[in-house]
Amino acid sequence: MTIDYSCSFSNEIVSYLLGEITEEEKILFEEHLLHCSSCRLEVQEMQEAWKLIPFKMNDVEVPSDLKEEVMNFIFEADNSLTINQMEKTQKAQIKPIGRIRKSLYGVAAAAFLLSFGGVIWNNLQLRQELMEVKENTLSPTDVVQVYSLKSADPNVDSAKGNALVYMHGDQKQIVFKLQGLSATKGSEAYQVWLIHGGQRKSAGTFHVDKNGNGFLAYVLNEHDPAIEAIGVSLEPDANGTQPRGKKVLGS
Amino acid sequence: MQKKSDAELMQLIKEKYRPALEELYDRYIKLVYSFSLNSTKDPDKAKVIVQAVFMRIWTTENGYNPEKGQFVNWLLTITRNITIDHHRKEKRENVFVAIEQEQLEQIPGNPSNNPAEIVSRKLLREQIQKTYQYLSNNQIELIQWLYWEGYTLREIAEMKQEPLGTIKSRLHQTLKILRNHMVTEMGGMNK
Repeated sequence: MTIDYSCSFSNEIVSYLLGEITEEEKILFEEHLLHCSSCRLEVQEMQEAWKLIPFKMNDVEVPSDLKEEVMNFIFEADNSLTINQMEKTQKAQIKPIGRIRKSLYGVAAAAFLLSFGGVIWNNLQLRQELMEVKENTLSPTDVVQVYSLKSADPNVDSAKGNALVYMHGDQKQIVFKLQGLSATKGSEAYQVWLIHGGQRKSAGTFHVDKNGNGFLAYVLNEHDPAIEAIGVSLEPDANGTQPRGKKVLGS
Repeated sequence: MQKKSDAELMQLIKEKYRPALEELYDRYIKLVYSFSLNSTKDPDKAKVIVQAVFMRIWTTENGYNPEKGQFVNWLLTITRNITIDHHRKEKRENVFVAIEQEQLEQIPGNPSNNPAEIVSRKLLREQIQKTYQYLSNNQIELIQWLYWEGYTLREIAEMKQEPLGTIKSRLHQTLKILRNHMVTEMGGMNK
């Protein structure tokens, strides 16, 4: 079988493909490729054929203990990286909807960005979104509890929200997502309270976007008492340690 | 984890997320092991190669770029490079020009032409094996030495005591036959 060499370069195609070519030859050849469509096609076809070669082989049975052996080999050799690796893994656990990666802050920021975009979420959607975040990242994060927050003022029933408690490794986190809140004025801020035995502990303050959506994430200390109820109040400023303003949402 | 694409797994591996590596292993061990065994004909050597391949995957910093083509081809390139390194070390033949490892990946291919995407490997294998009937012994030997054993064209020219140009055009022809018959058999790969 003969090949119709339409081009003096065509014998160099295989050398190029295999990289058995000097740097100058390579530059020359690539320059040639720009002008020669038949060589371009040849390169492409040769490459396709080359990639076919391994698929000829017959599949063989893989020894069943090979996986363990390979993994041990890698992770024992990689032992020095373990700590670093764990840190990295933690970072990897809660990850992009955006490309933000700081574990909890990632979720917080991502959800914040979404809500800032004016997206309205109902409880179900939020939960789904958070589940998706979880699924996307295959993290061991589990939602252990969900609180539904309702308007404390019967005249304003647009206000509502959610609080989800996560176990993230050993850490417990609570994420609040609220909507339908009116804009704050001046130094005003919304504040979230965790209630236990009549005691109120601040979980932080937040503001809402122009659509009335707010977001807050809080890491629960292991000494924190169990949450019996959750309240959200509108405070004159963000500095209070006990509620002073009107309650707007409650569990 | 099963729902993740290869590229996503590679991203997680970069983050040192072990389950991603295990998933990738499950997906491709058959291919990698078959490749190395096919090339070495020795289960112990094949095992060493498999370890090296997955170690490379685990430690690679900027290895796989999804824009440059399919993961399976990248993986096969790595596997072949490592296999060939082993062959070379064994033969203590370091005198020859090393094949530029990334070369094959750098050539932009059209991913939709990728054979692995088009048919199952089994069907593909049958077709390629059929196509081999059209190859001469010289051509089959060339593929064996070049692809599976990692000799360079120049080395093969020396071994065969033939001009380099002859070897080159033999390879060209061989690949052409492979491709053309595959196209015929499979009703057009390049559509």
